[in-house]
Amino acid sequence: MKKKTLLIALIVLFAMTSVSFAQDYELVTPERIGNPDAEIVLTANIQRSDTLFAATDNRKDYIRKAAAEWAKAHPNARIDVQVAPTGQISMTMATLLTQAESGNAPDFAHIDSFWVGRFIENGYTKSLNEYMGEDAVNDFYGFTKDVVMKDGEMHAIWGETDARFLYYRKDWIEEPPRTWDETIDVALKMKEEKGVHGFLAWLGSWEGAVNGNVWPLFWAQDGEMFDENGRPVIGEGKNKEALVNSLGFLKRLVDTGAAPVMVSSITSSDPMLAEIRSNNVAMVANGSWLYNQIDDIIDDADEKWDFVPLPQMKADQRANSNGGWTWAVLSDDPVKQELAADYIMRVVGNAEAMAERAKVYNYLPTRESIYENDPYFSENERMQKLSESLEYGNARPANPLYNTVSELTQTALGRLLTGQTDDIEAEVDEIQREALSEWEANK
Amino acid sequence: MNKNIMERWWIWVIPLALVLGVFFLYPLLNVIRLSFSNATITTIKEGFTFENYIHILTGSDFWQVMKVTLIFVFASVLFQLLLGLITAMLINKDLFGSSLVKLSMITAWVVPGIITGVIWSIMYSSSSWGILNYFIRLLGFDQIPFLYTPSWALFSVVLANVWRGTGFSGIMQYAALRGIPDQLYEAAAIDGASTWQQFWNITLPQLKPMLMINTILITIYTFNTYDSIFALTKGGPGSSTTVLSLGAYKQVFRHLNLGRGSAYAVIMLVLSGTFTILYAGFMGSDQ
Repeated sequence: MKKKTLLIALIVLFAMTSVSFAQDYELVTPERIGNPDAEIVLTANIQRSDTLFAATDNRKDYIRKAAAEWAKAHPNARIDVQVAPTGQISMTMATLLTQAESGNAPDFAHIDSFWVGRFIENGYTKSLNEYMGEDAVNDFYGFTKDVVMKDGEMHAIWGETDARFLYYRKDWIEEPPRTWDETIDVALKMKEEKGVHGFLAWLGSWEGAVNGNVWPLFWAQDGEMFDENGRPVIGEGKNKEALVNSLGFLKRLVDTGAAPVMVSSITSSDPMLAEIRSNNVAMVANGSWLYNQIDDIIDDADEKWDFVPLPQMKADQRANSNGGWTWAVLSDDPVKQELAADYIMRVVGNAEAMAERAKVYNYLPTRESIYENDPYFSENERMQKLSESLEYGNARPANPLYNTVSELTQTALGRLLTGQTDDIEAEVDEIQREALSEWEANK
Repeated sequence: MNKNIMERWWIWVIPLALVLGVFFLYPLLNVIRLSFSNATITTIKEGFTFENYIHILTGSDFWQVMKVTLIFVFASVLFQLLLGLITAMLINKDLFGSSLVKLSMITAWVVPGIITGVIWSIMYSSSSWGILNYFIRLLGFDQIPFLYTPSWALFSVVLANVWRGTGFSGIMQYAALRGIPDQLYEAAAIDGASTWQQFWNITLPQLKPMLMINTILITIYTFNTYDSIFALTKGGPGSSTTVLSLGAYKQVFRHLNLGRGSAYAVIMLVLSGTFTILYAGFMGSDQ
């Protein structure tokens, strides 16, 4: 017995010292993943939230665990992490594009979903099909594939997404609005009866204003920004009509007093959350992330707040706008491509990782099977409601002129909401004229 | 040997010339070159074109942006100079707490523009937690739409910029005030000069060189300011707070249009240069 105990003790001691000799370094640090003396060194540009600089401990724990698994599987490789600065998306993406153009891009990178199209179009990204398998490729929602697929090849993993909804006070509003006219009526009624803001949305001068509040309305009317040749058509024919209608509704919200003119300066959730907390708003148009934020700031969120699809011009119209981040391999070296793809799959790409990460980060997964197979998503009514909205998902087009169109629309929206002009058609004509002139200059 | 090196003046100029050439002159010339090209972040095409300037100058919102820029610069410079001068004169009196004021002035200056924007957006907010509107409501007035009507938004970005820049202006003028000999004031007092006459005939002329340098620096700095505006209004609502520097930023980092962004930068350079020459001529070509 004593001999056996001694033997076990020796084995345990040996195992412990072996581990200690084999690995006298941390597998994952904020700036490095893997063996510091590795022969193969990859570089990666990753958003802060997906590094050990993430804001919460559970996120850090997730990254630490997933990255450590990659590091253990590849003891001869390491990743040097370049942490992208917070809140500087445009600058980071522009820098990455410049690096890719000059051949100095990191081996893989975290790329905003509405920028990744440019990387794919310019041939900077590598196909990930062979590292994923056909079933996995087919498992992604259609709106993600519209952007990241090229010639049948998946060029980036769209790791998570979100969707837009109308949040409303269910203890005040019996029947949530489904159309624009109903929205204005309900908002005015709430304003009069409760003395609160009828409707709030972030309609300040920024990307979120159009992505969250203009494009879903525009797409629900079958509006298109560009034709198949990439030519801007947003201000032509039925597209013009769709944009005029959408901008007109937002303007009407403010002009009628259904929404305060303050919405024209809101560019984050914070002002809306403040109003929600002080019981000072009846309806808020915002993203899928808002529900948990409401839950965090008020005690009885489930009794007060619910969400429905964004109201549209007609009740039977439906469209959503979906954002999120993608992961793409940019390296030309096949060995590094495989290592990078493996990291991406382990952290975000395979179904288990994506589901786990979505739970930790409060994201929506982009693979359909997760909503069917993982009980956290399949048995949760709210998650099923969210996943249903992804069937109507839309991604911003990969056209290089998208930013121009978006910027022009933001400016027009600001001018309309603040009464600098009432001529919606003229604003839409100006968007079309400017976008077309850009297109012709770059042809 | 030593004498030879001392006589070769150009040896001593080389390090400075290298630094200026590599870090200032080359980027400047490159920006001018790019402004006449159709370069984008991903495609640098050959060729010479005036298209960027034509597009900017004939654009529907260019004169609006120019108007906003000039108002922003003129108002910022004027109030930074005036408030800086008043503050400098007060702390020069060595009143109680003047050290704390000096420290606060420097602090405001070193705060990054983005943070300035965030701080002031909290101050200006029309939400229930907006600080200024809270006090305005307490006093029984209607709240002020600081950030969502065009004229108030412009006022708000100017005020935030004045807050940020007054410290620098004040410290510069305080340094100049300290250099004015006391004897001048003593002599003037003996001759019966009033406080106003002393200010007008001694303080202002003595401050003139510093005022000129200060004005030029503040003007250039304000022309280049975009970060606090970006954080505060992102140039909106509409384009009511879009200044030239924000236009350049958007062209390069949103539209990825290096050529047009560079053309904006060159227009800013021309404006800054013109104002510098005007100031120099107006405030003292003898300096």
